[in-house]
Amino acid sequence: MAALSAKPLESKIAPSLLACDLSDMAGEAARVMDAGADALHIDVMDGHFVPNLSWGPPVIKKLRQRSDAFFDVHLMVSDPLAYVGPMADAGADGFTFHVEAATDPCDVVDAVRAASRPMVVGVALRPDTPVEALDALWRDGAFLPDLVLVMTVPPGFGGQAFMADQMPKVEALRRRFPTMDIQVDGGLNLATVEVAARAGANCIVAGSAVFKSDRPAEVISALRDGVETLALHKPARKRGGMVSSWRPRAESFEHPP
Amino acid sequence: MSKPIFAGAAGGLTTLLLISAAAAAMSTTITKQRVTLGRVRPIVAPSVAKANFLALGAELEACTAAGCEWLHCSVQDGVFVPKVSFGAPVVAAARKACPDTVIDVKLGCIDPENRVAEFAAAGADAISFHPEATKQPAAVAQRIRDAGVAPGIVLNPGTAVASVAPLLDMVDIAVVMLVSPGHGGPKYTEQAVEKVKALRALRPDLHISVDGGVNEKIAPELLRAGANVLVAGGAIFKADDKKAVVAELIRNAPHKRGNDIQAADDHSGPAGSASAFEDDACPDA
Repeated sequence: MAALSAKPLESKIAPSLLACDLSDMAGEAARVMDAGADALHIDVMDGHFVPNLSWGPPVIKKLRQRSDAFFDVHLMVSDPLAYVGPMADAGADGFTFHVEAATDPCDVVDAVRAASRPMVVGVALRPDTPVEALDALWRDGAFLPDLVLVMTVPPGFGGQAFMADQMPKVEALRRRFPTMDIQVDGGLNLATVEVAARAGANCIVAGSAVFKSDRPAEVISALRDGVETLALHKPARKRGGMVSSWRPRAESFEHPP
Repeated sequence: MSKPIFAGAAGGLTTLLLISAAAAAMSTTITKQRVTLGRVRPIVAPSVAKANFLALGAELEACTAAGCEWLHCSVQDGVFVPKVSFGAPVVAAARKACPDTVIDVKLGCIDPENRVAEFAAAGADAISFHPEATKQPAAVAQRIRDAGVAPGIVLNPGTAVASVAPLLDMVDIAVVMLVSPGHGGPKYTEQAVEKVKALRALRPDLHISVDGGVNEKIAPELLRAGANVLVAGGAIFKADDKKAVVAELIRNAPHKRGNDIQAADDHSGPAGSASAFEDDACPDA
C-alpha cells in the first residue's frame, strides 16, 4: 500500500453508482466504465450514520461478478470495523470510512490492512469536521491512510449543492500531502470541478453529472481535464471536436436536480 | 366495525408525491396514484431482496408479467435486523419498473416513524413495521395512513397476536414472520399457522402475509389457515417459468378450491433450503 502513495498523482474520476438507473445497475456500471471512468464510487449508507439507507455488502458482491472496475467503496456507516470483512469478501478495492464513525480510526486502518483482500484505505471527513480530526491517524511519523475524502455536501443524499467552503480543507491537505490522493464528493459537476481542482483535489466523485448526462464520456473527460490542468498542472490536451483550453461553458453544466 | 380497508377506498384517494432534494436520495419524482391493495385474495409477492440486483427492472417486470400482484421490499437497517438490505433508492427503482404493482415495504428498522416519509416518497403502496421497533406503534400506523400509504404490522416469531390486537383495527396488513429476520435459525411454521388462524378469526378482511422461507410445501397449510399473501423467495427469480411457480404456490388456496382439506404432499417441488439463496443480494431478507 505504501507503493501507491509513491506514484505520481493522477486524475481519478469515479462516478457514483447511487445516481444511476438502479433498475439496470450492471448496464449502468459498464456504460460509465466504457465512457472512461477510473473507478465506480459505491456508497454504503446504513441509515444510522447518515439518514439514508442504500445497500449492503451483498449488492457489491453481486456487482463484482459482473464488473472488473475498481470498486471505490465509501462507507457511511456507524461501525466501519464491522464492514471490513464483508467488504473484503464482497470484492471492494477501496475502503473509505468516516473518521467521525470510528472510536479508534487506527484500529480500522489496521483491520483493513489485515483483510483477506488488498484494499486502498481512505478516510472521509464530513463538512463540519475539521482536518485536525485526521491527527488521530498518524503513527510513528506516518499518516496511515492512502486517501482522504473531503465531503463537499452533508453525506446521505444526492443532488445537493457543492460547498465551496470545504476548499480550505482541501488546500490544507494538499499542502500537507503533496502526493496523496485527495478526493471530493458532493455536487461535483463541470462547473464546481474547477474550484475543487484549484484547491488541489485530484479524485472526483460525480453522481448526477455523469449518470444523468446523455454523453457521460464527455463529462468524464471534461472533469479529467479540469483536474489535470488545475490540480496537476499539466498542459491542456487537444481533442478533436472539443475546446482545447479548458473553460466551463454555460451550456455544458450539469446542474444537480 | 366498518372501516375503510384500503388507502384508495370509497371515493379514491389521489396522492401526489413530490420528492425534494433533501428527501429520498437518488430521486425519481413519483407523481401517480397509489396502487390499492385490493380485496383479500391469494397473492404471490416476490421478495425484491432475492432478485438479481444487477438487472432489477427486468427481473421485477418478469414477475409482474407472471402474475405477481405485489412486490415485497424487505428493508433492513442492520440494527433491528442485523443485516443491511437496501433502502429507498432501490424501492424507487422497483416502483419505476412496475408502476401498476403494489410495492409492499416491510421496515426491519428501528424508529420506523422516521422512515415513513422517505418510503412514501419512493412510491411504497404499503409500509409495515415491527411494534418492538418503536415506542408508539399506533402513532406510527397513523403516520403511515396520513401519508396515504396502507399501514401494516409485522409479527416476529416471538411476538404474540394478543400483543398487537388493538393495532389490528388500525392496519391493512399483518405480516407473520416464520423466521427471525437476519438471524437464521429455525422455521417456526406451526406457530405461524396458529397466528394466521388467530389473525383471520379477528379480522376477516385483513391482508395476512407470511414471510420467511415460504415454499410450495408449506404454502397450502398457510393458505388453509387463512394467509393470503405469500412472500416468495429466490425460487421465483431462478425459475424460467415463473407462472408455474406462482400457480404452484397458490394452487391450494381455499377460496379457489372451495374446500379446506387438501393433501399437503400431493405434489413435489424443489426443496427450499438456505443454500439456494446464498447467492442472493440479501440472504435472510
